Amino acid sequence: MKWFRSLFESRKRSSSDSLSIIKSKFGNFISILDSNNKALKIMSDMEEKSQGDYLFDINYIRTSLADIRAAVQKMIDNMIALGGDNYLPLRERYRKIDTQLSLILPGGRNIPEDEFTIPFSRLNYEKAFSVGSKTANLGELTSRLKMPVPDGFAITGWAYKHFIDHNKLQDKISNEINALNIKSYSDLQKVSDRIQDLIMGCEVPGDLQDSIVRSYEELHVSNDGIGCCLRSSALGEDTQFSFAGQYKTILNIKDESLIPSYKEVVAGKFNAQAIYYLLSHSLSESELAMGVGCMKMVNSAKSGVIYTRNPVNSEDNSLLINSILGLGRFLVDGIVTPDIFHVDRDNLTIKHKDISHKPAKLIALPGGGTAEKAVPSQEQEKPSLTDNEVAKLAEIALKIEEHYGHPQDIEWAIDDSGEIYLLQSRPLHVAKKPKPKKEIDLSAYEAVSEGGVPISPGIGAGPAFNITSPDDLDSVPDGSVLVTPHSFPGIVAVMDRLNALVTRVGGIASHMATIAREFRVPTICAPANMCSLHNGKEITVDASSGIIYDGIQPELIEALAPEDDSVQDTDIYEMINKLLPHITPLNLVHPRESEFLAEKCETLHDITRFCHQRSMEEMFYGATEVKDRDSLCVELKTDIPLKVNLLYIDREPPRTDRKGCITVENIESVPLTTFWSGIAHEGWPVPPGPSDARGFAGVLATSMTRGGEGEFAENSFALISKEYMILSLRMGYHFTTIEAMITPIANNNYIRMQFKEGGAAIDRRVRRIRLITEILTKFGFENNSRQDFLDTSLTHQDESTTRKALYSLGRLTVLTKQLDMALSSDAITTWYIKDLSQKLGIAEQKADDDG
Amino acid sequence: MKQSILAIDDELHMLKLLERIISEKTDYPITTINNSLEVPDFLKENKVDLIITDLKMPGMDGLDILKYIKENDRSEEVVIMTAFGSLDTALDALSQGVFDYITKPFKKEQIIMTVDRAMRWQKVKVESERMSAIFDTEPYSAAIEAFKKEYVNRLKVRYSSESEMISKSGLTGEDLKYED
Repeated sequence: MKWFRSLFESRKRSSSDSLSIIKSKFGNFISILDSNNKALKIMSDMEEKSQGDYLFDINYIRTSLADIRAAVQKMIDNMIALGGDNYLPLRERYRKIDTQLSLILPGGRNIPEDEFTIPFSRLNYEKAFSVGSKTANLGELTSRLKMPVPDGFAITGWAYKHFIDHNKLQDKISNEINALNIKSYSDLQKVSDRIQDLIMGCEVPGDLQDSIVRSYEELHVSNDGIGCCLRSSALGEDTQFSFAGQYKTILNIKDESLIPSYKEVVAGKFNAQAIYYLLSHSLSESELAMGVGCMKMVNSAKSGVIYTRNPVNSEDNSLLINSILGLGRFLVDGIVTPDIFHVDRDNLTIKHKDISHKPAKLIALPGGGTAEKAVPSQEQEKPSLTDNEVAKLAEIALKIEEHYGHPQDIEWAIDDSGEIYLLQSRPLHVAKKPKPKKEIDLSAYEAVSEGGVPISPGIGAGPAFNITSPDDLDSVPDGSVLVTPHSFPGIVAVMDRLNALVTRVGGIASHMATIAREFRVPTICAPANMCSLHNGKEITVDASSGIIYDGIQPELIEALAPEDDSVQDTDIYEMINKLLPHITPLNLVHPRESEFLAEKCETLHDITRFCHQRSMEEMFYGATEVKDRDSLCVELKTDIPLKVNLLYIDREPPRTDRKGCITVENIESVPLTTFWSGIAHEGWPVPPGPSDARGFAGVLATSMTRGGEGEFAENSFALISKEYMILSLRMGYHFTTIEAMITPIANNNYIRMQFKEGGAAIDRRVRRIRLITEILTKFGFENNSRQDFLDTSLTHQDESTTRKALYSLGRLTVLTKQLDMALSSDAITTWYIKDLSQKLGIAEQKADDDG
Repeated sequence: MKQSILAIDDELHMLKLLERIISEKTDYPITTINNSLEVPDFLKENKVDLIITDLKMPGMDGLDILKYIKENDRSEEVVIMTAFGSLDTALDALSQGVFDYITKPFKKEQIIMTVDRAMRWQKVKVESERMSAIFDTEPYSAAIEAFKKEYVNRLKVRYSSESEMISKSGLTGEDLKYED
């Protein structure tokens, strides 16, 4: 194939200017077809991998994504070269889709050049690559949703890069991290300390300092009141990876402490648990710049976290509001157990309240900094929110969820005057409620403790191991149940050693809880009788019910372990299934519909479909600069109701009739004449009836979703020369591309057929591909198909064999047209293979064996 | 003794998937290590039958681990997981004595079948070594004794109750005194 193309493309002289223009377009056109096939093949491969039968790693996803991106970008470039600036909107569509993909799987992108600081009012979600998701979301809430967010500004990833480059830090940091043993917490801590010291000892470049100070002054922080807070907003944080609580927030800072605090937040990127999290998720440190958000402090009377769904039970229709007195840090750090208000999502009524004991609160001091303060005894047991406040918060939260289309984890605060402020909103990971494998009589087992709050569902057992500080982390044994008074930094670094986790205080909304759910460690907090869980005591923790049983109980674990512990709910599968909706669904189908526009491309598949269609049209109709286009482009006149436009790429076309048509006999292209004879042998078929209702319903559904009418009226296109053809044949619901070269030299000969899609459901489409490839294999074709993407080729055969194969391919193309509808089972498919093999007069051994 | 597996990969996602699939579909206990530098220490304390390791890792890579096994004359079989692009290295590994390689991504059944083959091969290897040892024994009387001992121990494994064993074997009480 390459041989022919290079020969064709290298010809310097042409018989006419028009032919020369056509030839230059041909290069772009062929490149689009190549990229299209490449992209479709990877899409099919990813779809196949997403269905639960494969083991793959993050590199597979990264490589597949990189290859699809490259193919689609190339298609767009070729499309613009082929059709001009009309196709520029494709770039914008691609950028938007690419943004969505990168928000799910960060990395693989450079830190974008931007201003050093940007106010919230000029930010939105699309700016996540520049400022990090956390700050971009605050911008989205401010600028698009008009929600109450305190004033603030982002210090961008570009600013971070400037700081790192200015101080030549990257190599030093990379060397430290590359030499690290991530299993040893003390090693992690030492490396972390060294990197953080390095950063704190560096200067913030003058231009960056000026920009930060200027933006700060625009916030008009009063001299006597409370100041600002600086929050980490790492690029890549809160995407597929939560990084919950890994990074630093500094509360209530003012004037002169602003720049040192910025450095402190940047240095916080390298705390021990964050380094562990980064490395354990195969994330590249250098790509994850530390953006920082600077926001006016809210003098919080109360604050908390809203989960718009119950994160440990996806079937619960509740919205959960966690609330404590004072600033929210005591909640997210797991120091105070919050009140929890369970709100009905349908009518916003409170279903029930868990009011906790709240002995202390954190407050902001007027001169800067924070302090712990005792809560007056009469307020300690009172609900921290009024019913009215609960309803208002719930209403706001559901609006935000609706805007993002996904459950949210929202931090909020209410100040002394009763004003509500939103401090953060990010996607919430909701764990599926595990279904026990079988019923079991729990009364037969002795419970050590009951009434614990489920934080991360599941069941795990092992010897209890108590720790009280990060110094004990290195000694945590594999397979233990970690028992700790509260969460503290570093627990993330031992998560993969734990069979279960039990904490005295904390709650469902703490950062540790988010991490536990992400690592799927069964976790409960606040169980009764915790003091009895001494080191070495063997226990079984049923974290779905909040009960701890005495001893290791294998039958209980067997019975209560989730029924289908398949790979589908693992992080890696979750990731591919989040990416695919931006890649594979096809929304643009009918070229004649008004919605068939570059601006309407929602997925990468839409872009490839759009480019594929328009490239053919540009080749045939859009060549406005070809003055005598009609002299090169003709229509094929046959008995078959299929309109085929022919474009001659090596010479002037044969003489046409008055309507610009030629007959098959006059084509003068060996491959097309051969292929067409095969089609004509069979005649144009009536689609076979589906063999069951599902097949018919599938086709009906496809017709309805894709517009149905006009499906068969679209043109087919062929670029031909005496020995070559590339034919895009409209076959009902999809284009089949057949490329062929027939010469007297065997080494130059080839046939290649490719297509994706079809009218029926995926299983039937895959069966049709099995059918076609099994039959073609008998003609010597090699099969490179994936899922419902057909890719088969025959190469290096002599002229006669290649002609025979292409003729049979023509027949088979007709015989299998819309046959996918009828292939309701493997047995029916096998029957068709046998039947069609007989019709085509090829050996029966394989079909007989299958039968 | 129950056969067991060690899986090594620097990517936790992959380790989790492997652990899940092998625990779900086989009875072999599996240990996972994501820092390959820990492997020598682990192997000093433990013996497994099969090591499934990623090819490209920081620290020790898959070939280093294979080399460590061979140089220390250990009996573990090694299966290397490799990305499609590293096929040449995988083939090279085959020539260096790796049991098999498997290209990522792979089907669940593929790894289970590879594990099954490796475990059966390990059993055959052990068996063959024991038989060779018996045949190498001299003088003949000592070889007969060694054979009887092996035979009786196998019967004990095959039949759970002693009476059943005696009735089926035709051995006398004197023969059954062999213990390991």
